[in-house]
Order: sequence, then structure tokens, then C-alpha cells
Amino acid sequence: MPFAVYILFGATLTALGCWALGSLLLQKLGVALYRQERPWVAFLCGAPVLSTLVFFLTAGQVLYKGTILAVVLAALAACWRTEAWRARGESFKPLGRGVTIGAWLLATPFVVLTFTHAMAPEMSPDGSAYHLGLVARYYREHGFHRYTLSIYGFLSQGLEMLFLSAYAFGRHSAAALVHWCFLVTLPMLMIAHGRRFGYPQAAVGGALFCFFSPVVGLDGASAYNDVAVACVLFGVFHLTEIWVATRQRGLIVLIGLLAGFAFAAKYTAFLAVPYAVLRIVWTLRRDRRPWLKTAAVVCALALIMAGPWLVKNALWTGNPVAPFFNRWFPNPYVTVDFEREYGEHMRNYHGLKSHWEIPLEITLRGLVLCGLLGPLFLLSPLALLALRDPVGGRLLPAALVFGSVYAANIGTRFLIPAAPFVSLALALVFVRVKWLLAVAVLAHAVTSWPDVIKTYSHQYAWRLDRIWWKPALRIEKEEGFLTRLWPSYTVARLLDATVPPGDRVLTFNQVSEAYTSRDVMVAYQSAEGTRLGAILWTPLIAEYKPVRALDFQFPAKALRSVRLVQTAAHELDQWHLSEVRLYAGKRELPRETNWRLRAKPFPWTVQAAFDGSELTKWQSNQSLFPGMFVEVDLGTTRTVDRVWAQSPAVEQNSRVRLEGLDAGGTWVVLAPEPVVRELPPPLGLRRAAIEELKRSGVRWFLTAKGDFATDDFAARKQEWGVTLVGQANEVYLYRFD
Amino acid sequence: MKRLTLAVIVGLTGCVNIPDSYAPPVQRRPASGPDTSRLKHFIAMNDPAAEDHFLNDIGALEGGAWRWTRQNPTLRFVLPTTRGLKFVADFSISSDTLKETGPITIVYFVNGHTLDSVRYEKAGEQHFEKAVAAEWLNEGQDVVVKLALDKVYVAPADGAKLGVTIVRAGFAE
Repeated sequence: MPFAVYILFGATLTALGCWALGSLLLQKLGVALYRQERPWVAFLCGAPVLSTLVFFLTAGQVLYKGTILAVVLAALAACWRTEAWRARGESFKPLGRGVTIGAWLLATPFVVLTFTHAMAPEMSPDGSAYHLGLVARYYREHGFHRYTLSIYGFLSQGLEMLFLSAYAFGRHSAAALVHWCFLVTLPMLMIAHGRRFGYPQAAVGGALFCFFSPVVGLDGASAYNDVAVACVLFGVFHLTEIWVATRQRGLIVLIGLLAGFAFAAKYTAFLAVPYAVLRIVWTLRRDRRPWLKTAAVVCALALIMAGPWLVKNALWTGNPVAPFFNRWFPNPYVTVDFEREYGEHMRNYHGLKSHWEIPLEITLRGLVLCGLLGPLFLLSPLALLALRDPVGGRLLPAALVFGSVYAANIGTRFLIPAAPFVSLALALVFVRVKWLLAVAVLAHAVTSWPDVIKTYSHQYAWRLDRIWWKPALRIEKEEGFLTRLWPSYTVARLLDATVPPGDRVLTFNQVSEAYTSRDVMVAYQSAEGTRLGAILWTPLIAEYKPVRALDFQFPAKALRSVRLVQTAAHELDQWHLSEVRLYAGKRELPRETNWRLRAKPFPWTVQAAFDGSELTKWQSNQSLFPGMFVEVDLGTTRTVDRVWAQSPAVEQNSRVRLEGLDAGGTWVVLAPEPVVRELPPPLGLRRAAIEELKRSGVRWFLTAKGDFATDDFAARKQEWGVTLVGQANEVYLYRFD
Repeated sequence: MKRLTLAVIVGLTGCVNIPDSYAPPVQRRPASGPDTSRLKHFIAMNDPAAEDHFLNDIGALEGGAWRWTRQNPTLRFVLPTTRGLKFVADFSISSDTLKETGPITIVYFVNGHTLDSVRYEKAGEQHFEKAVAAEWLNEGQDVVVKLALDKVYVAPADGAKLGVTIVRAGFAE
């Protein structure tokens, strides 16, 4: 059977599953909706339910085609048996023939464009790397298995559970098509909102503003999650407004589930919960009605949706909200410093000279911030004029709330959650002038079409390409299409062809993990990866080499413990210790098994300072603060007269004091500061680094042209002890000898 | 209900049994302690063993970190290996002496072989590094490195000859 059929089957099955479960929910709760909005609301409200069911299949290690099929068929059967599928409710007033025909005429090419993109082989950077990389891993392993080597594995993955359902049958493109279903649902909900609340024409215009927006189209046609999140957030807004107008109790359940699902789909969408709660509480208090129970129900249901992800993280890492808040929930897998650096990077994209460039970058250029909204959105400030309208007065606060997290990540797609609200508000303003809205929609459609975009955007802007019907239907083979257009795919295939299953590959670049079953460790994506990456770089970077000796000499004293205590504070610098040695007379005290080593912070790698290797080191993994320590409990009282520690040259702002626990149980200062000496840079570090990586389970290294280590590996293979075994484009795969 | 709440809180914050103290691990190599061999492959000028490496034209330690050279500072090193090494030197050229001498040229010799010749026209910190052919070096025996300056400043008061201020030198990978 043609593979396109499997793709469509996987996506349709998942979408039907969502719709059936949502329809059952709507019927059970007795929620009255308009006939035209009901199926879209049903799809949206069923999504959290199906996502949670797939989560439990995955957590229960029973993720198979059969189990997924059983769940969806059961939902469809129940829907059929209870007649929940039947269209119910009153109809909206007709939109008008001109508006309907005009809208469909303009929208149809974009529907085809985005559909074929979604159905074509998936080649989005993040989609093929981790959104589907994780999905492929879960499906391959038929469930969750504790995996701590990628920060992305810790993020909530509510939408990925739906991807997983589709992936089981139609692989990557089926998953992307699930996201596309949200892309289509979003404008339909926006139109429903306008028709329900008395601004139908503006709503059609606003929906098209949003739908045509290049970044919305591309994101929604990829295995990303931003458009789905925007759809869920708009759903929360829409249902909350219906509740305010009708006070149907069943809506409270849907609002709670959707708000929780927003968090389950993306952490930053947690704002759906306070938004919904505050809107409901404000309304009830205004009417002098009790509000606590209603607010509690919303929160409890939201927690039910978010809870599985929090618990999974807590079980895997000890941090329920990993990879964030690591200062509150310290853990060995994600470091405080990583979180700081990552946040910094997300707030300041490489290539952006000033934040004043953002408006043009997100609307016209589309390169540095990865995508563009289209020139129409340069007029976004005009949306403020919608405040004169009561509907605008509700849309704009929602835009503000859901757009408020943009500062945390200034990529264009992080504006997508606010885009529907801004689009509707802008349309509300334009509709006041005859024909202006129609002209604006037409102009936006034209300027958002791929062939036109490339006339004004950056040459390499992230955007849709053209209608891809041949690759979508697999008339052009997936292998050939991806090899032609997606270099990362060939790297993934190289890994599958060369690396034996079970071997681990270290790399400093993101790999299309969705297309390889091999275990890839991207250095910056975990504390362990960062540690191993630093080991690999130590032979190459003078500042990383352990050439700084801290020599503490003091009158011999009987001690039970000694500790090196940090006394300095610094915003950026960290504390590292490669080796710590204790002496009595000229003799080093052998490290005995009854010693106990502790460190604060990041105690989990303290052994690296006591392993006899200058290459490995304990690292604070957060900025210097007074009171950090590394401690050796000697297990018994021993005479000590010298402590000698070794650290990298990079450590300039660290200041260390030596303390000892005397026989009487009192901590005393043994030396307020060390004599600092410069040591010869150790030789043979390249080979030692490879040996250390092998000890840590890594046997392969993947490096790209331009990467820091690439030239040195090519020039000094023998010194590293590696063999070049493969190359894809300009990416090189080395095996450790 | 209270128990359930407690269980949830405990569950969310401390499910993972991660120890916070550890025994010393398997040693990568036997304990050796600080390197007590007198001759090394690389030496900082403030190292207690630095003077063992000087053969000619290097003065006393100043400022806790650097030493004046004269015209032909010569050092010796012992190398544990000879492959893939480069000679590295960090030094400074004083603006006062440069004003008097004009640009200086330093010829770097390793075991009598000319490694490089570099003309320095500006004062300030200088870093020299260049790969050294393994055939010029010998393992476990003295490797002699000479920096030959084409001119030095001669102090009018005492006739002291001042070349550059050297901070560290030796072989690295």
C-alpha cells in the first residue's frame, strides 16, 4: 500500500480520536454549542484526553499500534453508541455569500500549501531533532524509559503524545499532520468566536490574518507545537468567554482540562491557568457569587492534565519542572549554569545586533529570529484602537497575557500564542473602514505567499517553500527528498549505517534524531554531555588545562575532615577542582574507601576531584558564591599538614580557604589562602580525553566543519586515538580506537 | 487527604534517590602527588624549580611572576614525549626599552635548530608558539631552547642589559 495512505491513516485516526473523545465529553457535560463550532471544540477538548491516554500507555510500557488503535476505536465506538457524534445545537447566522466565497478562495491555496508541507517528509530543525526524536524513541522502546541526556526530554510533551499516536502508523509526516489539524482548527475557532460574539466579518478577516501568517503556516505544518499551543490558548479564551456569557457549568470542566493541557503542551503556556481562573473569579465576584469552588475545580482539572508531566520529571530527575528552576530543585541532570546560559541565549539570539531590530526581523526578514509574521503585523500597534470595542477589550488583555512570555524567548514563533488575539483586534479596527479589511486580507495573502515572501525576506528566512504535492504523496521518495534538501538527514543515516546499536555518539550539534535509532548525546543538552564535552575540549583550550595549583601548607594537625571553602562571589565564574590531595609530611594520604566526599553545590561529580585524573574535574556548575565547599570526611582522625588542589587556568576570580574539623569536632581555619603556583600543562591529554570518554560509555564523535575540534581531529587522529569512519556532507564521524 | 497531599509533595520533590556523599572512586592512576622532578617540559618563571631550567641570561624573579632576560636567554627542558609538541613562550616587551632599542627580532632555537625568527615592533604582552619537529627533540634528555635577541637595552647607569620580561616557556601540545 502506498506510504501516503499510512500517513493519512495515522493522522486521521489521531484527529478522529480527539474528536470522538471531545464529542463524548461535550455530551456528558451537556455543553450547548453552536452547530458550526461544536466539531472544532470537540477536537480541541478531546486532544487533552487522548494525549493523557497515550501518556499512560507510554508510561505503562504498552505503547503499540494495537493499544493505540484499541483506545481510538473504543472512543469512536462509544461516540457512535451514544450518538455523541451527531451535529447538535443552533446554527450561527449565515456569514454571507461574498464573505464565505472570498474567504475560501483566498484560504484554499494556503490550506493546500500547508497540508502538502505537513505531509511531505518532515525536515524542521527542532521537529526532526527532538519533538519527533523523542517520539521515535518512545515508540521504539514502546514506552518511557528513564532518559536524562536531553533537556528536551524533560519538557512537557502533551502534543508529542498525539504525535506518538499518529507516528505509530504513519511516522513523521503523520505527526506533522496532527499539528496541521490544530493549524486549521485555530482559524475556525476564531471565526466561531466572532460569529458568537457579534463580529463575524472581522473574525473571518482576523482568522485569515493569523492563518496566512508565514511563521504560523510553517510552524503548523511542522512537528512543532506552537500553533497547537496557540489553538489551545484560544480555546481556553473562547470557552471562558462562552462561560461568562452563558454560565454553563460543564464549560468549567473543559476550561480546566484545556488550561492544564496548555501547560502539558508547553511550559510557557501555563499562563492559561491563571488567566482562566482570574477571568472566572473576576466575573463571579463582580456578580457577588461564590467563586472559590469554581476556581478550585479549574485548578484541580488543570493539575490533572499537567500532573503526569510533573510526576514523570520528579521521578526521573527530582525536579518536577526540569529543565528549569534547578536552583530550587538541584539535580545532576541540568545545571543552574546551563539554565542561566540557555535563558541568556533565548533572550538574545545570535546575529541580533539590537532589540530594536526585532520588529523588522519578525515581520519582514525572518532569518535571525527564525520566521516572519508578515508585513501586515507591522501595523499591530493599530490593534490598540480595538480597545474602544468591548470585544477588543477582552482580546487585547488576552494577547498581553499570552504574549508576555515572549521576552523569555524572542524567536518569532514564540509570538504565535498572541497572534490570534492581535489578528482579531486588528481586524476589528480595519472593519470600521469600508473595504479596508478586505484589502488588508488580500494584501496579507499576497505578501504571505512563498514566491512573494522571498522578494522581501532574507534569502535564508525560515519559511514555506511551495506546494509540495509530489513529496507529500511520496511520488518523490522520502529518501531522495530528504537527501536533497535536509543535510541533517544524511548524517542521521550515516549514524544508522555505521554505529552499532547501543553505542553512544557524542556531538556538539543537534542531529535529526527522529531519523536515527542510535544513541546521540548532544553535549550542551545535559549536564553529563557538558561534562564530556569539556573533557574533549580540554586538550585544545589552554584555559581549560589544569595548570593552577593551590598549595595549602600548615602546622600538622589531627583532623577528621578537611574542606576547601570558596570565599569569593562572581556573576559568571565557576569553581573547578581537578584534583585534591592530602599530605602528612612528604607522604600523600592514600584515598581510602571509608573517606566520604561531599560538595556544595553539585555534589554528584565530586569524585572527579579525587580520581587521579587531571582531566576530570568537579565543577560548581553555578556562579561563585561564598560558602561553596568540597569536603573530605576522613572517616577517622588523621594527621594532615598539607592540602594541594589543582584547577584550570580559567579560574581567575575564585578565592579559597582551607578549613579542618579537629578532633574536638570544631571547624577551624587551617589556611586562609593558598600559595598559587602555575603547573606545566599536562601532555598526552588528547589520548587521555578519549580514554575518559570511553570510560563514560561514549565510543563515537560526530563533528562538523567549522566546529571547534574538527580541524584538530583531522590533523591529529593518531594522537587522539581515533579513526575517521564516515562523512556526510561536511560532518565527520570518528570512532575511538 | 493530608497523607495524599504529603505524598504528592514528597513525590514531586524527592523521588529520586541521589546520594550526596561519595567514596573515592577507582583511581585512574596511582597517587603520585605534586610533580617533584626538577626539570619539566614547561616552566613558569615563579615556579620554585624555575632556576634549574636556566642556562643563560635570565635574571631574578620580579613582581612574583616574571624575570628580565638579557640577550640570549637559554633554558633546558626534559620531555616525556616528543610527538605533536609546540614550543610556547609568554613574555612582554617594555615600552621603555623598545623606545630605546627600536623593533627587536628574536630568533628561536631548539637544540640548535632554528625554529623561527620574529620581529616585534610593539611593546606589550607577546605570545609565541610554533610546532617543533619531533626529530629535533629527544625524550628524557635535556632539550635546550635559546631565544636570541638582536639587540637589548643597556642601562646607562649600571650597564645592565635588559631584553624582554619572560613569564613562562616550554613545550605544550
